[in-house]
Amino acid sequence: MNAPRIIPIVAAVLLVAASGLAQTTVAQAPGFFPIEQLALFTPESLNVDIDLQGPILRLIASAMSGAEDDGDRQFAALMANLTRIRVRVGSLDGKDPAQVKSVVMGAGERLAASGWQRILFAREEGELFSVFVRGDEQRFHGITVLAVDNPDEIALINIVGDIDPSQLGRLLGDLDSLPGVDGLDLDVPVPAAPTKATP
Amino acid sequence: MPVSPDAFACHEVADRLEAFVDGELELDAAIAVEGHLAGCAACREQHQLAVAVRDGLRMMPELDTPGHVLAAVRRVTAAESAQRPTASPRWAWRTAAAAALVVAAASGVLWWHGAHGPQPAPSARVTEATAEARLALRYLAGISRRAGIDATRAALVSNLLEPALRSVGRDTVSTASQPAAAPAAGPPTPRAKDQLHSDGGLS
Repeated sequence: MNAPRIIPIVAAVLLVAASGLAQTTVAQAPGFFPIEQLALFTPESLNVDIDLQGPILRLIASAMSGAEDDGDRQFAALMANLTRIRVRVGSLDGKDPAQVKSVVMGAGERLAASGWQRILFAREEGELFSVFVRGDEQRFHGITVLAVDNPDEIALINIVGDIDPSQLGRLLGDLDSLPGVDGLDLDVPVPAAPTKATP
Repeated sequence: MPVSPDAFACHEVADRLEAFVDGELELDAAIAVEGHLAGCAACREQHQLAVAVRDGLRMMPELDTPGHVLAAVRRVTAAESAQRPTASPRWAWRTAAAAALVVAAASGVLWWHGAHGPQPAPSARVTEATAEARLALRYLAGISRRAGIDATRAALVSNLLEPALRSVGRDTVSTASQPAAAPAAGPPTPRAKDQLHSDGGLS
């Protein structure tokens, strides 16, 4: 029977089309920064690869909105207004640290030149942390983090959406009290293999 | 009382056809239906269609058809019936066959997904995505805190510690009446200068 075979194919085509449309929309958002283009990772050196987009973020918000815990409700409220969370964390894997930092610094210059505001920048003994935001004091359209933790860790983050800085600050403050986030401390429990998420 | 083979008209056979196909008709009535089918090509066609539908349904895997699918089929067939109050037995069987095909297609899709689509349930995917989103925010929190600590330290060095050292240096020079420049005076150390620029923090 052909119908059972055709229906999933049609559904898959529609999903791919919708996904492409969503990616196009996110790519046009002011808070978007294509961290993939920095090409700092090989498949072997990439430890965390998170890509959450609109539909799944709204599902998260919906699932958490009725939580009893206030932190969970704040988390849900933040998720409801995000359109993308992109995280890539990996090791230097033999790359020249100076070259990596040069790439990261170049990315920072590109961000600054395109309207992003650098709100934090620290460089010390091989480490390099940059936090950029785009938006105004009331709302951020996006946050981009570029971090090199010498000798062996690189973290790139791009969060896109309508972000309330005070809300995000409170949430990060709560998260900050959790174990495993002292300093950069990338020893948070991460999957052994890259975790790839699609909406 | 025996029923004559010629006792039934076509519409009366049609009314009994389902029971006849399922073997639920009384013997006399069944004989009468058989007799009518032997001499009526139109009713034979309906009989063959009924047998094909029955056999098709029997060949299908046993699946729990979701209630909403059955409800949808019932709605469709009810609507068909309402639109065709005087529908002929031919249309009645075609509607039944169409309904059976809808159920078969729906069950086939469900079976196909069950057999070939071992995808996590939506709730499992949401749980996984929630963990990933929390992980992302924890990275952001950790990096922001680390950068904020470095920013604070650098600000303290450049705004408090170095001026204090310069002041102590000047006092030392003044007290000792030595003409040489104070060791701590002058531009910030390369490390302190290189260490940081900060316009604020996230939290």
